Amino acid sequence: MKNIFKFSLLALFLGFVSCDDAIDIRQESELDEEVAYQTVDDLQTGLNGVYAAYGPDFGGNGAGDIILFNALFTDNIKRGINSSGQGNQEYNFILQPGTDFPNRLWSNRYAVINFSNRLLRAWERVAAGLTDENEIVRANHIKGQAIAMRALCHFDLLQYFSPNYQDDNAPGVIIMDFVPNVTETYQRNTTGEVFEFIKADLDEATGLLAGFTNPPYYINGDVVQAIRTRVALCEGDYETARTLSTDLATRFAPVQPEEYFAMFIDDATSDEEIFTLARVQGDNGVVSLFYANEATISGSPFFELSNSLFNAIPSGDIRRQVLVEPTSDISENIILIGKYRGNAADQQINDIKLIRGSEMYLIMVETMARAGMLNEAEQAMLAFRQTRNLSGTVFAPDYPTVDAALVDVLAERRIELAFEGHRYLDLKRLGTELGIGIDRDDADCASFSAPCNLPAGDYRFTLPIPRNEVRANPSIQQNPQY
Amino acid sequence: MRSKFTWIMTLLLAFSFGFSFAQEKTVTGTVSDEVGPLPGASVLVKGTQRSVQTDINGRYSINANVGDVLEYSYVSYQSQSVTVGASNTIDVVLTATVLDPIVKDVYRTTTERKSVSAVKVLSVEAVEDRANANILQSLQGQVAGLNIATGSGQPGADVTIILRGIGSINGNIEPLFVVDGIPVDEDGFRSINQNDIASYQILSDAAATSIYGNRGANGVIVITTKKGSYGQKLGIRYTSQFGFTQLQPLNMELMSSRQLLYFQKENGVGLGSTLTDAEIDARAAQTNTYWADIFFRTGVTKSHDIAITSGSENTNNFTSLGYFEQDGVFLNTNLKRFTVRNNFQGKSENGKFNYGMNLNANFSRSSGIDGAGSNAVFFAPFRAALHGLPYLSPYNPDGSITIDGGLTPGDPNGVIVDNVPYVLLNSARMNTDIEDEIKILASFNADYNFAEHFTAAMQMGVDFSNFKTLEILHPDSLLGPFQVDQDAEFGGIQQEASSRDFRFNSLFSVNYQNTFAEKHNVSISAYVEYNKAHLDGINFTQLGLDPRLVGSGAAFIAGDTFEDLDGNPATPDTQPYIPTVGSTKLEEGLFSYFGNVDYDYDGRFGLTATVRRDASFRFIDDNRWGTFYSVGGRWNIDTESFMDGSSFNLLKLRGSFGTSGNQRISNTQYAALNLYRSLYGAGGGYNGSVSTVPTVIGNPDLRWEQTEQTNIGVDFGVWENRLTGTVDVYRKLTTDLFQSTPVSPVNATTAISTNIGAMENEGVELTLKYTLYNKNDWRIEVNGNTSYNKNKIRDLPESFEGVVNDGGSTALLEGESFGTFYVVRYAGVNPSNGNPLFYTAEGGLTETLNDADRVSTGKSYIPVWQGGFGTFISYKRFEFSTQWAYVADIYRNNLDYAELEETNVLDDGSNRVVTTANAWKNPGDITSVPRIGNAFGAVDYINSTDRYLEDASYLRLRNIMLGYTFSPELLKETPFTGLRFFVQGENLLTFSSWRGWDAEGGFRSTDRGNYPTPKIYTLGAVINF
Repeated sequence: MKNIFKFSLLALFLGFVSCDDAIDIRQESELDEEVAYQTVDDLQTGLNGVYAAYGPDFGGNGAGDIILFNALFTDNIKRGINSSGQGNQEYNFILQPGTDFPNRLWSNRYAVINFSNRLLRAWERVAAGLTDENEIVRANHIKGQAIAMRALCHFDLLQYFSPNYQDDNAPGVIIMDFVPNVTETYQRNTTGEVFEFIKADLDEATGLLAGFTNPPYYINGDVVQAIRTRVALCEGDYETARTLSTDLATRFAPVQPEEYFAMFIDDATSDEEIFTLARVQGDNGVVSLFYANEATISGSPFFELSNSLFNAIPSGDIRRQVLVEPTSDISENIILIGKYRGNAADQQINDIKLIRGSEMYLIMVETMARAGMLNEAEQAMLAFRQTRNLSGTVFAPDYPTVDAALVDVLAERRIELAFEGHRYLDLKRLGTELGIGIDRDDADCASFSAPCNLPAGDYRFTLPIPRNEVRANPSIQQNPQY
Repeated sequence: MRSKFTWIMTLLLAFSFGFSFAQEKTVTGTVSDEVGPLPGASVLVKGTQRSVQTDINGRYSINANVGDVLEYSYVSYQSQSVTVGASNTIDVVLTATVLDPIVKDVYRTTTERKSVSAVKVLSVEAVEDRANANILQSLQGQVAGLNIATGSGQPGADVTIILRGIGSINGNIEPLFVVDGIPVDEDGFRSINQNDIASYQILSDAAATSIYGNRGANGVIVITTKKGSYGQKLGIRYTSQFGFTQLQPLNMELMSSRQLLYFQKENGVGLGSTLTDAEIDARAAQTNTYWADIFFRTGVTKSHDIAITSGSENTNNFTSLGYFEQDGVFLNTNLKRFTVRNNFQGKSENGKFNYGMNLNANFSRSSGIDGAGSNAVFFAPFRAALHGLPYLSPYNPDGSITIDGGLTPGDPNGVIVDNVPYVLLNSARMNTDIEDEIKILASFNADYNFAEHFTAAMQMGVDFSNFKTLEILHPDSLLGPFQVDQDAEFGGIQQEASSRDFRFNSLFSVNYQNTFAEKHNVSISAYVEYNKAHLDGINFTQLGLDPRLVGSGAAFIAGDTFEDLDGNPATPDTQPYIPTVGSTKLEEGLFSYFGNVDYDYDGRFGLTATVRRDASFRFIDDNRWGTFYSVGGRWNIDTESFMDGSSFNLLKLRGSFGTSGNQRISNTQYAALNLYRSLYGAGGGYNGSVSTVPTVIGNPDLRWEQTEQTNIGVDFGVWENRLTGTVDVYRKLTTDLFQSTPVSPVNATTAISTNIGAMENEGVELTLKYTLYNKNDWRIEVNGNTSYNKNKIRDLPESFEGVVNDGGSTALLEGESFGTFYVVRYAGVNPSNGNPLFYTAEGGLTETLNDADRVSTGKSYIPVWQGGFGTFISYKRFEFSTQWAYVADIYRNNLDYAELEETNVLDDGSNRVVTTANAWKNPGDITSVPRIGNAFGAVDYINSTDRYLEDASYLRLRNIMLGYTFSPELLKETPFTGLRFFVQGENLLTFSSWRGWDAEGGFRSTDRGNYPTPKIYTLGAVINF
């Protein structure tokens, strides 16, 4: 009896020990999707995450996204005085599935797409419960931006990974319009399918973004139109590209030199900006793509502007003042990259002018020429150069043939859009068509002991499907010659 | 009627017998050997869990019934059993050289004779009075299979411990540590006082560790601290040590000023190229700095400990106070420690209820220096001490040692690679890097023999650590003005972090113990265990300090201060001094119940079996619970009749098989806390606004990593136990390994943690001890242990096709050991052009480095062989001992040497080793150093080739000690009851081909600029009152 009592007491005692609080643990910081997204304001924070993740300017110390790669792999960069070998591989045209850039681009853009799709999934749930008219409009604007970002990322990927984006049947990239299951893998869609998907997204975004004006840091109807213009140009739908670009080139006309300089050097808002990525203190500093510290000769530049680009810029052109940092020592062949010099808040940070009116203007010139309007194209190009000119005479364009016009457009784009993530793609698109490959100045390629030429149409104008995809998805179709 | 009467009578008789048998009394006495009293000897009531240890004077007090058998045991002494009779005093004299100590883990107590498991007991004498700040450092080389690596000379630095090989790729690899029954943080040993420890036990096989199932997969180390004894007089023991720490010798030849300047001149770079021969000679005559002499120093080490033991009839007490201080050999590095311990035990009059409380509070302050192994040359102090240019003078014009090399803080032209030693010397002298730890270990235990054969027990323990770090980069130091913004008015950074780590553990158990038919001893136990751990912390970083007030919060420049950093009044001013703050709060938890059966037949055979169910908060649903079990058996062959007359005193065959689990997906504590859930969190904002992004892509399939182990062992003692030893052979197989598996980047991540693959460890362990001579006041003993462990990765995620290599020098390779170097083989220098040559994978020669040419070298940075040996000689009252440790078949990349032999660039602010001058110059030169300006730098050779992959095996004299104990006769007129003096040295001798200061580099794949472990000399005294 006594023992039974003792045993029961013991059992009671053991009963005090409950296991639940030891094994059902949720850390205080945990947030699941239901809780994360409850209001339109929450959706807006999700959209901020989509914008923040998109990183054409990301990287540093020799590795980087499209802003660096387009300059490094081509003819816009030479080795800097404080180089310790940064970017050596890319400069040597070494491009393999394990190379940093294709891995970086593929993961960054698909991460943004994943973030967008997660936001859109939560959007369906939150939007279903909205009644207030203003809230519904706000919600639609958020959805429109998310869809447009998804389209932009698919388009970025397609340009780099499709071996021929004017062939609908060429392998494209994976269309992701849903949140994938981590255990599944997916095959590449065709280029045609991806273009259709992008255009459908852009159309839907246009509808949703009606009435949304918040330039230039967020995607509004004009930004969607600009992306649509690029898409049309890339597809070879030059008429659409011409119509759309003409409209944008008028409304976002290239600005005068003083404003142009202030736009880059002081991050001052300009009428030419269509879409600019806001960069504030704490964000990735674009200056770190080229310098270890600040953008001056004592900031340890490991990349410099190439001789061939320097020689291509007319001396009286405002773009020379923007592109060449003033502490450069030209006599010693130290040409510092000056487009990004940091802003008042941080010596390494600048806004990223992703789409500008001048790009649309040059698309207009190109598509005019392609439409046979060679005189108009000449006139437009002359006017453009005059806008950029400070002193001296302007090099007058002369377009006896369409190709001559295209060659000139390619050269002008190189100067106007230098270090903005275009050169490699321009050489892929126009260079292949015109038979122009990478042709570096001897002094530039010697600085890296690297090859000076890459012929037009080389397989390396298409990126390999990167190792981080192939590892998880070994059956994915690889691009030719990789 | 009559029969009924008989029956009642019988019953009464039985009761009265039972009564008399159960009549308990306190037995006291002294345990001694031929020389004198033995402190710390164990007294166990046979067949129960009751045991006590003798105090400093060898006295003990234990409750026992008449007829109970008391077992007296002491490490390396023959056990004795005495049956309790009428007398209340039992004095025992133990004979030396028998190995049969008590084996006691948290859950079970047994003698080594009856233990079925692979448990190695380390006598505290073997490590007592050693001068290491971290108690675990002293265990190196002492236990077969226990691999201890100290990767730093910072006093009290954490050590990495591997028992029987690496058992996990990503998960936890270190054993579970249990101090007085409480599982404790395996990384927090610098605060524990070595002199408080009574014994170490190392549990390796499944039979021993399975009972620790949820954390025992990597083995268990049980540490027991000293206790008082019942009925003992007050005893006081005072121990003191004083000594020095010193840098070990450098095994490489650096260039002198003259050599380096001429070498520079010859190659047209650096200062040497600007000087004439006469100027070089003048400079070299004036300045030839060996920077290690400037950065390193002889440190002081000292300690004081007082231990007080006392005991009354029903309570006893052990109280100790300790102070320890040790300077590191590098400038401004130091550890100070203050410890207090009180171990209390009490019991009821009848001895059926026992309880105890251990309370241990420690405070330690470690002043250290960051940047060991860093590639940031301006923040790598140890690298600067080795690489600094010899032609720079360390002196001011007045002959004192400079603290800034004449450079001006904030001058960017001063911070150039040539001036690295000045910058680092300045940082070492001016900056602050302090880590304070308050560690409290507290435990309470009680057991109650509430019914015949039944005992209920409970145990609760707390491991509490408060950790506080303070780092100040002084605004007036050479680097200070750059910390905020070059153009800001104030520089400097102060970072502080404070965290509390609270770990609670409770264990309830019921035990049934009985003997049937005199020979069948059975013990059955059931347990419930609960573990919970909480970490919370805050931290901040202040940018901008007022140099007049550095060290206090008053120095902080207000965050709302505006400054015009770009010197342009047109742009708005900015706020450069905004501090950053952080806060964390994390929890962990485990819950288990388990049972254990022990069976012994007449001391001849024994069986043990354990089954347990464990739940971890890290997994969900069916994966949450893991089931682990083990069975073990022994055969005490020496008890068999056919062994009569043999020279074996002990011959025992053991075998066990079982499983244990690992739930720590990541090797660090408080990490990988919720990987089965998909989660969101605040991410990098856009345009200054807050953002929400996915942070974890959940994997609900995560489950326990499981290790199964088979062990066969033999324990033996022959020739009156003059030779004793243990041999163990084992095989461990870890399945469901925690590994990251690649996933498509469309998931917004490129890898997730999964359970995939398998890894194997196979090995042999041997421990021997031999008494060579024991006559005429002489005693000579030798002991040794060695272990061999072969690790093999059996399976990796399929998509890796057998090789996981991220471009570094090592890879995970199927069929090879963990940590295997996977590099291109260096073939030497091409005599025709001076370029380096490499072997292609097929064996051809090439001048280009290609990942496709990487091959497995079969060399790993985890040693295959490990062990130690020692001698002990005593003559009368003198004693002399040596303890050697070795590791073999271990390799490491020597990046220090690679950088010192760099010929890719020369003008990099680093000195060179003299062999660099052998660099290829002319066609036809046969040399091992490629031409100046060859395409590959030190890091290329390290990451991709085996050029600097060195054998890091070593044999080291870990400890040497000479002691003298005064005879009691001499002390009769003094207040002392005992007096002993000793001198000792740590790490005095090392044999290794490793080129550097310290062959012992931790379990690192690459060594660069690390803090070498010191030599330590101390003189000590032990005084008993």
